[in-house]
Amino acid sequence: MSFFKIDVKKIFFLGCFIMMSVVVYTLQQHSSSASFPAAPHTLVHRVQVLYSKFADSISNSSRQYLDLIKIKEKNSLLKLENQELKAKLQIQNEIKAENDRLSKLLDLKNEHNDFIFQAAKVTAKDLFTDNFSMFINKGSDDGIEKLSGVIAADGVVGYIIDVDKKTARILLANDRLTSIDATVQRTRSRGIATGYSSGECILKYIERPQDVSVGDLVVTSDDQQIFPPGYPVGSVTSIKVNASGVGHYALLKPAIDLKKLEEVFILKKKDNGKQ
Amino acid sequence: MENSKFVPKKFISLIFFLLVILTATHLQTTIWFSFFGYFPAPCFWVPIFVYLMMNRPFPFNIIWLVITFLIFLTQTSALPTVLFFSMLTLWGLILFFQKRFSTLSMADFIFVTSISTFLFPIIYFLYSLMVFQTPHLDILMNFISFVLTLPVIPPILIVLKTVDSLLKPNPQNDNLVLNL
Repeated sequence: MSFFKIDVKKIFFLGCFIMMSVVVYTLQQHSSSASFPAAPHTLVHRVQVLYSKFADSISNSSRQYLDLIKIKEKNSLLKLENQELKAKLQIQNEIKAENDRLSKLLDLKNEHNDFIFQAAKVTAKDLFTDNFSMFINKGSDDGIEKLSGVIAADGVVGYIIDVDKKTARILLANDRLTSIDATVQRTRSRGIATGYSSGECILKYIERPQDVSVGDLVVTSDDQQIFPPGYPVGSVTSIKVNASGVGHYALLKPAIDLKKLEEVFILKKKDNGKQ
Repeated sequence: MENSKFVPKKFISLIFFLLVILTATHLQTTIWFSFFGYFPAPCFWVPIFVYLMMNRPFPFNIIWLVITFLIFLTQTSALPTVLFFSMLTLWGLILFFQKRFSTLSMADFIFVTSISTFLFPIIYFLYSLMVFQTPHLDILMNFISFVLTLPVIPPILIVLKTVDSLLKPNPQNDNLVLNL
């Protein structure tokens, strides 16, 4: 009888063991099968997805942050580069403008063969606001002489009043002490061009004031030695009566902006015997 | 012994103020021009001129006036007679104000210098009326120059005052009191 005495507990555990083995085996065999109950797997997978997404988002945001720092650095570098390029462009433009000015001056030099042209750079202006003179970087060492005419590409600048070894002083056409023998181009009426204000000159002692009208071009007269004849001084903007009531004078707009001069030409009449 | 110390100090003072006037005029004509072109410069010379006229006894202030005038002539195309009389008139004006202050504070100095800066072009213009048929006063440019001069007055005064007190034989005689 003891042979038939069955230990139910042992059998149950044995059965459970076999069942477990079958389940494990089946799981191994049908792991990809959709019919297999996948609740625990799905749960784990979803949690895993969640973690993965969480990790990804952290990783992305940290990468973005790092990228942001790099972008900032790059941005500041690009800004610097941009500024450098802008400065270079500015210099290029400046060089181009200078080149244009000098080309004009060169053309001018070729036009007037009876004068020796000497280029000079403006280095200083007058001490007082209401006086108009300027200094250039050429002096007696460079052959500059007193009362030499000074012109720019578009018109008369003035003449030399003081010469030092390395510098010279130009009395500008708009200074009140200047006197330039001038002619109205259209009617050939002569007068003396002198300065008035920073942006104006005067043509006084006009030969035939009735022949002068607004818009007329005033040029240097023919028989003078310091400027080439017919070179522009300015254009007439208005005609006024003197304070005494006798005689007229014409206000002129200088042919060039005397407040923007950087380079000028000093003239010297060529000696026919020498040159 | 005391005298031997005074002579170099006076000499150094003379050289210093000469250099200061030269620097001020070149600052106005050359250095300013190289940076700002033809834009009106502050009148750097006015505070120095006012300082010298107020702090040097007669006739030394007149000697300084002549020295300043001669330096100016090398930097401007102004008519010498007109310029000299304008500077003399400015000196008279400075004396007029100086006599009305017992001690000169920084504010008083700024006031006198500002008035001088403002009036100098007008004085020059009035004298020009006697010489030129068509005198002209550029009001805007002179006003800009006047406005730009105002902020440079205090630093110039401080520098001049400091150097002058170091170089003056007897600082107690100084009539300018810094009262910031």
